[in-house]
Amino acid sequence: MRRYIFLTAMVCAAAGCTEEISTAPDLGFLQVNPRTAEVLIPFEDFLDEVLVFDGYGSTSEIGRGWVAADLDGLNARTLVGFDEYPTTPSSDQNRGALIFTGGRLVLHFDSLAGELDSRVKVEVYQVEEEWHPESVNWEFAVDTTGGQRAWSQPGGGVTTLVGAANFIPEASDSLSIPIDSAMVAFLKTEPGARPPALLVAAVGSGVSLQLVKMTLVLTSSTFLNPEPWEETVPAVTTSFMFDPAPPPSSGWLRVGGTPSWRSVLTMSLPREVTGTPETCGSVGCEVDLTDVHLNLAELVLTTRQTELAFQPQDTTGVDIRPVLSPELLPKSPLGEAVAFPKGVPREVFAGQAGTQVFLPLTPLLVQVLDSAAVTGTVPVTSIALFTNIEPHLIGFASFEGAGGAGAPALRLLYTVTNPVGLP
Amino acid sequence: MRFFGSFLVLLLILSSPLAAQSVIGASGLGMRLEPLDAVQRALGGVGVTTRTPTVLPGNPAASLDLLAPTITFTAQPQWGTYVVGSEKGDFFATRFPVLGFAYPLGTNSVITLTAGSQFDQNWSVVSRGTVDVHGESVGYTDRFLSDGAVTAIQAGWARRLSTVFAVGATVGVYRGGLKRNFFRVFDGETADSVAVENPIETTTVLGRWNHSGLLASLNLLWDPSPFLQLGATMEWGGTLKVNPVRGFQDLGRVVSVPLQFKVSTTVALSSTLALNAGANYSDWSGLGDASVEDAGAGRVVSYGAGVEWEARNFWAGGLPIRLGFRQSKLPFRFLGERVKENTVSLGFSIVMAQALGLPLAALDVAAEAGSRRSGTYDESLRRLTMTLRVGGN
Repeated sequence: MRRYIFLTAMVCAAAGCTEEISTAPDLGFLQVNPRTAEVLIPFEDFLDEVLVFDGYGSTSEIGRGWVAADLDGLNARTLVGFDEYPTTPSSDQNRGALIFTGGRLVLHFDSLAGELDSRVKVEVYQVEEEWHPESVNWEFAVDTTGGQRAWSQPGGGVTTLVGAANFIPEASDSLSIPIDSAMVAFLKTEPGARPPALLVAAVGSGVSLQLVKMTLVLTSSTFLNPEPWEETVPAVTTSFMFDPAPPPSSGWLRVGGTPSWRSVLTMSLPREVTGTPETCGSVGCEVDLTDVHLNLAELVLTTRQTELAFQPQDTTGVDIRPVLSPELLPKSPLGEAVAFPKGVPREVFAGQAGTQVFLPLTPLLVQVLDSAAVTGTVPVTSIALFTNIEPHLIGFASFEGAGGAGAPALRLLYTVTNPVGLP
Repeated sequence: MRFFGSFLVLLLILSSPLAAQSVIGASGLGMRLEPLDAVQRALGGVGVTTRTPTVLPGNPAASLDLLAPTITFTAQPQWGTYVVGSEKGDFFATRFPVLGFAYPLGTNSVITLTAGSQFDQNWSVVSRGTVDVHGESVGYTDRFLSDGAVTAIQAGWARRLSTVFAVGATVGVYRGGLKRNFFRVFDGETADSVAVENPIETTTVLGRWNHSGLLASLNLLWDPSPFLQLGATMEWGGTLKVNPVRGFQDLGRVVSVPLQFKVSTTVALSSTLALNAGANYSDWSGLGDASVEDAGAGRVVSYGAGVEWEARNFWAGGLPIRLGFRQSKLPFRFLGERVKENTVSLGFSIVMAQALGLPLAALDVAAEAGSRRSGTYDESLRRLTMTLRVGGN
């Protein structure tokens, strides 16, 4: 039998058992008659409610600090918690108890992300009061659900100046502030006590800097080896606080920032839309969206200028997910991402405000319409707009809200067909 | 039984539709695809009389002269070019129109099991268009794909009633499936070569059907002299049911397939030269389903003839050379017009093993060239048919 199968395979190979079926132009005999049309649904026809929430994440999560002085009336300070002083040399070549004879504070700034015109005076203070890195803000050192403790003075409480220096962005991206042995000793804490804690502030007007990294470098020696070397004390927590907080959004949408903003839109998709001449001909008709093939659904948002101090420093990645339990907002769990996060450039929240942004909703609305086709009722759907990394940037994105020319809209591209049927 | 095992293996290999392809198949039940082997193709035959014993669907009498259990397998690549108005294009596909197994019962009877093509429903059409998205023109491609075939699986029996007269009969079922898919695929760029903001999903419309039904045939074979063979076949097409697969909303269809009458003769003009001629008649009206009936071509007659010349030997047996022509009218109109197919053919057989002067293993080849025409639609066609016959215990 084997030889027969072999012969069969030979014939098959000779015949070329592949297929390239006949392809011809559409000769007009197909019944499927596809017609694609676009429709723009205004805000009032699909949006029931827009809610804006803030407070997602903490300033301690992005690993950077922010210092600002009178930036459009805003001040920002960074709180840095350090590790304990080392007790033994980090190098095996040195032995014995460490002796600290001085040191310096090294601060690295991201001048590209800040708003700078010239040199900036940076001051570093020792913080007397304890704070909670995850919840600290301008008014409160601790601001948790379980307890709240205000600073003795807003903005960091009682402090002692450790050092100051001028940061010149054109010259370098870092700043070194020397401290003498007395200050080194002053900052040192006993083992088990609260490690050194510093506050970084800027002096001046219209200043804004991102603090990328801060270290405490100690000039060290031992009794056996008096030749000095440097031991580094790393920062273990970085939080920032600012004042005043952004004004509440009056109907417009916010996404991102630190702590982050989320905008939640509750949608009731209309089951029918007015058909176009392509779909209905000249007589007009209503198109049932549960009967069409949805090719594209986009939430059309118009950007607005974010408050100067909070304008995004980089592209904002906007993620959209369904809100699974709207009654639990602002803590409702969210569903799967509707689409890959959309990158929105920073410029459209500054000089190019008024730009339209199209956020994809197609997979979600296909599900909604499929469900409506089964149940007969279009389900109310809530979606949350937030940044894909939360928190990510200090600044946040702003979009126009209800009313006005830039109100959100829903753009649909759909195709009406007949069944493929039999010829 | 080893042959039956081989047959089953082949049946699994060839589970794809046994059919051919042309956009003409978009009409009615599809493109009629006759279950003929390479010998019949080369001679312009209709599959009723043959000098070469073989296994033909619907005609077990053709297997009466087989000495041993035999399996046959036919492959048929086709190439074509269509022209309609200013449009022109090519197509290519391979089909397997005949798969057969015959088991002689003594010297006077034979039973057969065959799978033979009936209608081909493989074709596609493509067109381009544009739509405005965000005020920008975005192109799209519409593609309609039809993938399916109607195949008849038949069991047959034939018996020689005397030295000159034989009868045969088959019963069978229609089997096959049909997928009809429409896709509108949007471009990723606007007409100005700017990437679209968000991907536009493809529109997909699907339909699935199954084919079922019964059919039968009766065969008569008469050899009034050693030089003349006459044959007739009546095929009862029965009712072909086209039922939507569960989960698909489309409507089904029930079609009355008409009776088909075939007559054929083979005349031995000399010891090396033979003439074959045959005709086929059916009436494709009154089909029971309005839309199929609208496409029906009414009474259609197909005929063909050919000569076989066997003057030389090659390998293990004779080397017959065949020449033929065929004119076929297809059962369904296309774009409202009747479809006519004309081909001329050339073929030969290579016998690889034989016993008692009858081939046990042979390869038959037929090459056809011709055209199909329906109103302004024109196709030129090149078809190669290869049949492998293998017999033995």
